[in-house]
Amino acid sequence: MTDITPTAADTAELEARNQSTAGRLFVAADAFLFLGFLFAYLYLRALNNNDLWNPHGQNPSGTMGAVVLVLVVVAAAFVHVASGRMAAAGPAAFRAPAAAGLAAALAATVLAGTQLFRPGFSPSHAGGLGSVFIGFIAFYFLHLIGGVYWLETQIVQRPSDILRGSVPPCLLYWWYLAVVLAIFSVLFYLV
Amino acid sequence: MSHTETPAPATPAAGRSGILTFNLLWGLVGLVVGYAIGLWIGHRMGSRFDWVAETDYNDVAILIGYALGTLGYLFGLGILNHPIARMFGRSGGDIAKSSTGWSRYARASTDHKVIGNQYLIGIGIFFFIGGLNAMLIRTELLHPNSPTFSPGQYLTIVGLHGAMMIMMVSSIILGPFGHFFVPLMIGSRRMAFPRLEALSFWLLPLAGVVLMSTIAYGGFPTGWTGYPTLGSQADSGMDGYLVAFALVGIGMILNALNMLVTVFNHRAPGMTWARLPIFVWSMLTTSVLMLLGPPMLLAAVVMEMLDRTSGTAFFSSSSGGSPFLWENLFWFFGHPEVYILALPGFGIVLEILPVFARKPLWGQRLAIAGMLGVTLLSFMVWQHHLFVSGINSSLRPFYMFTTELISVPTGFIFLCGIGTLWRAKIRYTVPMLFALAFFFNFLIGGLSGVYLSDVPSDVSLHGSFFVMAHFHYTIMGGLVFAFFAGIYYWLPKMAGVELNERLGKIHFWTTFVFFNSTFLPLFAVGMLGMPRRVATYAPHLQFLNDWVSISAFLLGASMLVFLANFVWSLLVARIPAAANPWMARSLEWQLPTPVPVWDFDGPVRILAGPYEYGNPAAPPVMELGPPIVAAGD
Repeated sequence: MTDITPTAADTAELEARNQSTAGRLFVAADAFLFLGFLFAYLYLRALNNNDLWNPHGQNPSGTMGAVVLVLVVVAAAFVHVASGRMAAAGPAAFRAPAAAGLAAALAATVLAGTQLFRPGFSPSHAGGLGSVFIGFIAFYFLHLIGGVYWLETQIVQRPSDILRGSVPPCLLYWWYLAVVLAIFSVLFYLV
Repeated sequence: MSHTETPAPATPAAGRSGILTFNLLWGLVGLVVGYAIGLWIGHRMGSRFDWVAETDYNDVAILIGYALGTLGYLFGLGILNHPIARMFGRSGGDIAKSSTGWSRYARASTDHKVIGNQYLIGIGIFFFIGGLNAMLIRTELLHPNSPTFSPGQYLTIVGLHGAMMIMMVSSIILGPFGHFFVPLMIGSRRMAFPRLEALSFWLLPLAGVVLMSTIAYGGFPTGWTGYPTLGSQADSGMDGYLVAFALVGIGMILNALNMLVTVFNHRAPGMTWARLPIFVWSMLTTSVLMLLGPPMLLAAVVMEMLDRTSGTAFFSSSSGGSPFLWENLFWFFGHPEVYILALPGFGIVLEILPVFARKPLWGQRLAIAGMLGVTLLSFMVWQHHLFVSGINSSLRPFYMFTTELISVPTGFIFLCGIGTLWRAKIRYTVPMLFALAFFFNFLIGGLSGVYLSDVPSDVSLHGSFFVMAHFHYTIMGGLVFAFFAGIYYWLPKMAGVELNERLGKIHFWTTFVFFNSTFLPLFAVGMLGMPRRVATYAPHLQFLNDWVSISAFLLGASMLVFLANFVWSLLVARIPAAANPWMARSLEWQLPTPVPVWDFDGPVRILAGPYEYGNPAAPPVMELGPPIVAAGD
């Protein structure tokens, strides 16, 4: 009989694979959540019931939106750098760039919260566009909080093999958040 | 594929015991305290909003109450210990792999077997409550126009019955049987994410409690589908409906994620995709649907919450929204949900048939193709629910075609079932009887579904009791019969005791007869024009309705036979079950009963498929390596 007794390295490898698979599956599921808002945007815009898609021309602040997008991209880029350094120089090289990413992520979260709670218009008079914006930014704000938590937990862990496994899905998540925001930014601020 | 499991400690880690540890009691305390705090905060906040001041209720307060109540409940259960500890660079270890005694079922556990049993009990309780609601509905319909309940109460009862059944039966098979048996069937010692597994279970009873709490707020008038504008205008009971569905949706996503990762990464060496038991395939395909459907539901639910609390206009035509937006988002989840209910049923009956036919599963790959086909097509049919809701008429033929097309992969599964039974020496045990009845009932449900998918017939029958009869044939006649097949088949392994065979057969025959006696006439009632969700009806339909009501009461009584058998066998008789009473080949039956805490003593290698019945030369299904010992032991 072949000896198939697992080793400690096998176990760490399995945990890493679990996290990697789960990260991809989570992003797939989560994309369907944002697809709901994309559908709402396209559906309500196409219907334009009673000419109330955007009745008062009250658009959310493009400047604020751009700043949030830049901060999220910067956060994702720092996590990317941190992940690369960890692969090249070991887990100890992860913390500094990851902490910079965390700072950018925190700033993005605060600004997204500001967009949610101070959108610059009353949700009850904002028609379809305002509704979709409020709904989207509420969800996105929660996603940013989740991302900040995930990144923070990576930074405070002791460097170990488990960390190696859990960083790639965190990185995937941050790039995913950046792509989602980029797509919706085009819809909210440019179209 | 791998077999790289965490080595087992010599003795299972024992959790803290006693009343001071995290458990359900503290979870309920946390729920009440969190809810009260949330309500107080919400009233402070809501008093500043015009739209709250204009009404006599405060949805903001209620929703914040539910949110903080949920956090308090999870904290009391100890499920938040690990996430909080992770923030400080530590690992929270308060959830034990397992402990002994009944108290483990009232605590968060990371033992997939304990969680499977928790699902069984939890879902059983809510199934019973949902069934009682059905009895109340049939009581009301004993008379055409002398109400037992007010119209509002009747609608709330209908809504509670529908929502509770749909929410709970979403996990009726994946919950108890999926969690208990999938790791065993693939040669793993655990699910991929045990803490997530505990969380996904404990959200389910919370959702049930929240749903029940809607009664205190006057109920909800929308039925289980929650359509606006009725939903947007409803009183505060609607908030509970939305929160309950959100909790169930989150639980479903976490469940699916865990199940998929487990099957992808935790299969033992030799457990190739071709050898994967058909039940595991059904869990896999169900999980794909549970992963991708509920996020749309969550989006819709949050939109409705925002409409009710912050004055947005997602579903209000007069403010720039559209109620049809809800219908699209809801049914994008809702129709795959139908297959979330059907696929596990297919899996169970195809798992059981070879055992009692003593033949290999005929056309296993065809059955897998059928499940994959159903999974794919189920995302392409949702607009048939909108045939009479004003969709562009040019879209109707496409959705009619895709809906009819989905009967083809479903037919594959029937074909495999019939092929397995062909010229077999069938053992008519209780699980086999339920499995055979599944095919009978689901055939009627499926054929009436094809009929409904045609636009002309749907337009005339939409919203009638015909539709109600159709989906009860698929869900109760299919899934619930499969569930009972699973109970009678697997309970000896889950609980370690035998169920009484004679009572089991009485349960089967009474359930089968009275189920058909209840729901078959409803096709006629529907065709004669009786609409759903209306407490009154034309006097000439009274005979049929009385027949249905009396049959429904007898059907309810047949469930009491099961309950008596369950309680008697588990608590009184306690006849120990043999390790493999059915002489089955799949992995779970190769383990001792009760299953040890760490499942397999050593690493598993799969040598053959699970369905090689009738082949004397077939190798054993698995071999075990030397015992796994943790470092330091």
